[in-house]
Amino acid sequence: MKACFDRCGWWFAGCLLLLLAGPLSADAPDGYPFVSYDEGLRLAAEQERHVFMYFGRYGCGWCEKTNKESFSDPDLRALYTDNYVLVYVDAESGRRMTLPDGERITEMELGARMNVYATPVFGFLQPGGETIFTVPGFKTADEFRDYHRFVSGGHYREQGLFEFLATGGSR
Amino acid sequence: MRGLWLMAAAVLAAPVQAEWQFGEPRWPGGEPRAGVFHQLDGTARRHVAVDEGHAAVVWSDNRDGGYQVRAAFRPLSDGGAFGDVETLSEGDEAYHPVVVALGDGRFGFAWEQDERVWMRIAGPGGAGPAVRMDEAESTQPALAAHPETGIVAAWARRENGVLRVVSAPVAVDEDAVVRIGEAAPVDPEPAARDQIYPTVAVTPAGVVVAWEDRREGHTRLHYVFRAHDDGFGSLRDLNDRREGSRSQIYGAGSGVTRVALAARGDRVAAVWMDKRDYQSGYDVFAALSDDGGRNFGANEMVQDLFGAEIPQWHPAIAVDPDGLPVALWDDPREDTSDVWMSWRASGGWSDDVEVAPAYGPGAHTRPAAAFGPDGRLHIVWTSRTEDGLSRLGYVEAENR
Repeated sequence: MKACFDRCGWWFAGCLLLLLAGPLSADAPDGYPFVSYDEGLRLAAEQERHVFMYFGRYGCGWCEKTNKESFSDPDLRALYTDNYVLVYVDAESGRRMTLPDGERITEMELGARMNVYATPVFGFLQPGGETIFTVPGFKTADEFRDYHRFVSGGHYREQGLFEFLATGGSR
Repeated sequence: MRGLWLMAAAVLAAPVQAEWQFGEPRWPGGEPRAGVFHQLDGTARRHVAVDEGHAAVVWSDNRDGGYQVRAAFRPLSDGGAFGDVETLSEGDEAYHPVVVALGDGRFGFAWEQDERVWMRIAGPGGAGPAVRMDEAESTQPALAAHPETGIVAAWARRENGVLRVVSAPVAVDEDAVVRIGEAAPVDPEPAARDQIYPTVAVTPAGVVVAWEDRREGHTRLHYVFRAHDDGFGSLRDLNDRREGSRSQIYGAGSGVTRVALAARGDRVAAVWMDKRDYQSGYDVFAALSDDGGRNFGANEMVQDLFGAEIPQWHPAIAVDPDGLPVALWDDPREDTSDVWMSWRASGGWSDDVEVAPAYGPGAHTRPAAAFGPDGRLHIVWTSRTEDGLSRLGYVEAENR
C-alpha cells in the first residue's frame, strides 16, 4: 500500500511539475477575438473602431503573466471586446500580411519596423491605422482600463498618456 | 561620461574602420517605382552568391503585380553591370528566395511558391526548369554547396499540423535539371511543435543544419551534424541554455530567432538574434566551429558598445576564403536604420563599421553578404528612400 502511495505520489508530483513547467506559448489570451494585423486594419476602417494591438512572442514570460493576471479579468475582456478591433502579432512569426500600401511583409518585419524590441508591447491605433501610443511590458487590468479611458474619451487628441494619467485622468 | 567613452572608442575604432573600402553602389532591381516593394527575407539571408566570374542576387518583388522571385547577374570583370531582371518563380506568389554559387556561371536558387518549396538552376547564360522540391506543404528552403561534396538543401515541411525540418542532397545534370534526393528529417523525433527557418552549411567534414525549435515551449536554436557518408547525429544546442528554473523575465527562454550559417573550409560561423539582454531588444550573437560543424564554441556577442542599448535586426553572415567571419545587420543607433558590420578578429569581434552606401538618409535594412573567391565582399540590402520608395542595393567591399 505504501509503495503504491509512493508511486502515486510521485506520479501526481510529476504531473504537477509538468503542468507548472510545461510549455507555454504566450499566444493571444483565450476568449478574445484577436485577428491578424491586416484583417484588423480592414475591420477598424470598416467599423470606425480603434485598434488594440498586442505584440507577443512564443515563450514570452511577461506575455503569459499578462494573459493570466490581466486578460483573465471578465470585465476587461468585455470592455476590450466591445470597444476595439483586437489585433495580435507574433513578433517572431513569418506569417505574411498586406500593409495598406500593398507591401507584403511578415509579422516579424512589422515588429522590426515598429521597433518592437521587447514583448509584450501593447498599442492603440486610430481607425485609420495611425498609432496613438504603445507601451511595453506587463500591465494590470486597471492600467488597461486607464488606457481605454484615454483612448475612448479622445484625450489623446489633446494630451499625452502620461500627462493624462498624472492629472488624474485615470480616476 | 558617456561622451568620453564614445570619443575614446571612436579614436580606437578609427584605424580599424579604414580597413574596409566600399565601391560605388549598384541597384540590381532597377530604379525605384511607387508601389513596388523589394523583399530580402530568405532563410539565413542568403540573397547573394559569387563565383569566379559572376555575382548573383535574388529577391522577391511585386513589379508586375504579385510577388515573384527575381534574380540579376553581373560579371565581375571590368566593373560589369547587372543584366536584366529575371523572374524565376512561376506561381501565384513566391517568397523566401535563396541562392548558392555552383561554379562556372551557374547558381542554385530555391524559394517558397504557393506553399511548396521550389528550386532552379540559373545563371547569366540561362535557366533550367523549376522543380518542386517537396510534394507536401513546405516553406523556408535553405541551400548550401561545396565544390567537392555537392549541394544540400533543407526546408520546413508540414507534418501532422506542425513544421518539421528535413534535408536532402541535390544533384544537377549538365542540362541544369535539378534532382532532389530523399528528404529525411534532421531529427528522428517527430516534431510536436514547429521547427522553422533552417539553415545549412556544407564543409569538407560533412553537413550541419541549424534551425529554430519550439519543442520546449519557447524558441531554442538547435543543430545537427552528419559526415558525408552518414546520417545526422544527435541534437545539439547552439544558443546557451539558461541555467536554473524559468523566470518571469525570460519565461522559459530568452528569445532567439533567425539563425544563419556560413562556411568556408572547416570554419563554420553562425549568427542569430538573441534577446538574453531583454531590456535593449535583440542583440546579434555568434558561435564558431573550426571542425567543419561538428562542434561550436561559446556564444559571442557581435555588436559593440555603441549598439548595446538598441535592438539589432536581420543578422547575416559570410566567411572569407581565409575563414574570417563577417556579420552584418541593421540597427537604428543613429535614429534611422542603417546597415552595420563587424568581423571576427583573433581577439574577438571588431568595432562596428557602417556599410557606407547603406547608411544615411532613408532606411537601410535587411543586409545579406557573400565573399567571392578573391576575398571581395558582396553586400545587398533594401533601402527605403526619404520619399518612401523601395530600392534594392548592392556594393562590393574590400578589406585592405
